[in-house]
Amino acid sequence: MIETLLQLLLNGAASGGVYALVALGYTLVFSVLGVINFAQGALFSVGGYLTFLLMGGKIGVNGALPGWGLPGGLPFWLALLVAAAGSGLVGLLVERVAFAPLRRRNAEPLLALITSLGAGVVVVNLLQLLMGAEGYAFPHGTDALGGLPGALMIAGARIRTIQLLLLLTSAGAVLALSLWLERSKGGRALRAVAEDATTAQLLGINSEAMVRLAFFLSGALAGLGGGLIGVSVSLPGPYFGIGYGLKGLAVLVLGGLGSVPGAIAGGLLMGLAEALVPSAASGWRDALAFAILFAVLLLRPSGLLGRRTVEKV
Amino acid sequence: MSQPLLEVRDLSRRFGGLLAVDRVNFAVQPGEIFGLIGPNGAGKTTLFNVISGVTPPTGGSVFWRSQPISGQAPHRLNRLGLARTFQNLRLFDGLSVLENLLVALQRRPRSSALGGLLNSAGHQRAERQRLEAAWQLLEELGLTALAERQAGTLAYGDRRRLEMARALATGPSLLLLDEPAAGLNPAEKDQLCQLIGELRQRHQLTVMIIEHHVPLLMRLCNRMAVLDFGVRIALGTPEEVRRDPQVIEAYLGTGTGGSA
Repeated sequence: MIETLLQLLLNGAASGGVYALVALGYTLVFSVLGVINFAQGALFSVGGYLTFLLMGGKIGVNGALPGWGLPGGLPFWLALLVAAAGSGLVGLLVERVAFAPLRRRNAEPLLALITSLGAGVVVVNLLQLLMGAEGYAFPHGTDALGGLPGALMIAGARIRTIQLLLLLTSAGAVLALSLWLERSKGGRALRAVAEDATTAQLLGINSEAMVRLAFFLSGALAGLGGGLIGVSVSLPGPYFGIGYGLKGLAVLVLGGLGSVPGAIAGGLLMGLAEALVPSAASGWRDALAFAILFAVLLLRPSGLLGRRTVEKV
Repeated sequence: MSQPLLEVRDLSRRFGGLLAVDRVNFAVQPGEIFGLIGPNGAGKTTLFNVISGVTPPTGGSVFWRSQPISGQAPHRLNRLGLARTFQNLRLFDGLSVLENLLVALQRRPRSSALGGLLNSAGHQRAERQRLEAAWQLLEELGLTALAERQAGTLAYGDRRRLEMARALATGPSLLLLDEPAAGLNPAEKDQLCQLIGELRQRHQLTVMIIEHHVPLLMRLCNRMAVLDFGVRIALGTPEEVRRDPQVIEAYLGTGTGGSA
């Protein structure tokens, strides 16, 4: 009993950590531009597939280059990092194509909803063109975890190592990002741009460069999540990131738009709640997740840790 | 006369059918306090926006030490040595008072992002120097006790001084002050006057100041320009401007100089 509970909690915290990664990605872009980047889910997919290819995976029969793969393969950690950076670069591209032209023309910021959604659809379809619609399992299973055993015994409970890695990696990424935002010179500049881009610029900060940095980091977070989920479960198809993108969006709203601690708390709450749904009723997981969102928003319209909007008279 | 620090030539800014700034000319000499007055809607703030790069001009040009600078991004202009404050304060309300200054000190001294990641000795030294500079500015403007407070929670007068400290933190040679005395009581206005004088001395500043409170400007400025409906109608010492019939007509009202 204890064993299943521990296992359940760990599973919940692990997927919660990944939700938090995605939600933080949204938060970064939202705080500097005030809009949601709907391509975030697609970048999650990109991260998964990039990790797969970098670890030496081969393209399947329905792909553009059947049987092709990178020569050799990187170890899991390195592949994950490079894939995250790669997704960050795709995030930069999305910014260039879907956001920058609108900003230059002073267009209504809400239009970015459509352009980013479009960019996401294009990215996912390019993935499908390249890799085919089939699912992929990671090349060497969990043997690829740098020689770590596939399962660990903790307090008498059998725990899948990858779940633990998932949790630790997302916790590490979240912590590093929060520290960077709070303590570093660059993080300070990003927060200043988030508060008021024009004023930051008048103080010598290149606001445009900070916006690009936010997109890069946001894409890298999504890519990291995609790689982790890919290794831990599998890649069921190019669209698999979209579901996580939506879940991350729910977490973002649940935690409070633009709040970093909110994104983390929301992610964990969502992950844990889902994990407590018995696997026989797993079809109800999403329903439960969105029911929680609904209930929280009824009580606290600004989310768990969102700033309460003060009505101006 | 020495080379002007800032010069505007035939500068215009049109918004649709409205000519907010209409072929304005003047030059600001290094070290002077240059006033800009005019009735509401005369185009003063628009002129500041164009000079500081927030709004591109629709005609004419701006020169910085004789180099054309119009059309450059605000952060480039700031790095040249041009800083400003806003009429309706624009602090980073969610950041602490100290952080507001540290953001502005970002580039003094320079340190690379890589150094920050590695937390190198050079980076730590740079961060220490920034902190020292920030504390010194806080002291100069009497904000030391408020350093850790969120900027959004400060009282009005403190917010005004913080905005000025933040502009100074970028190390400008030209400081544009947009109605720094707005909302201050007479005693505070006096203090502000003195403060601007002191800061100019200590930081070797040239100051351009928009102000409605004419007595304050008369006392403070070496020269001033008067705008009316976007047109520069007068330019000269406070004494000359005060006697200019066009100015009396447009701004001061007939005979009641100073109560505008």
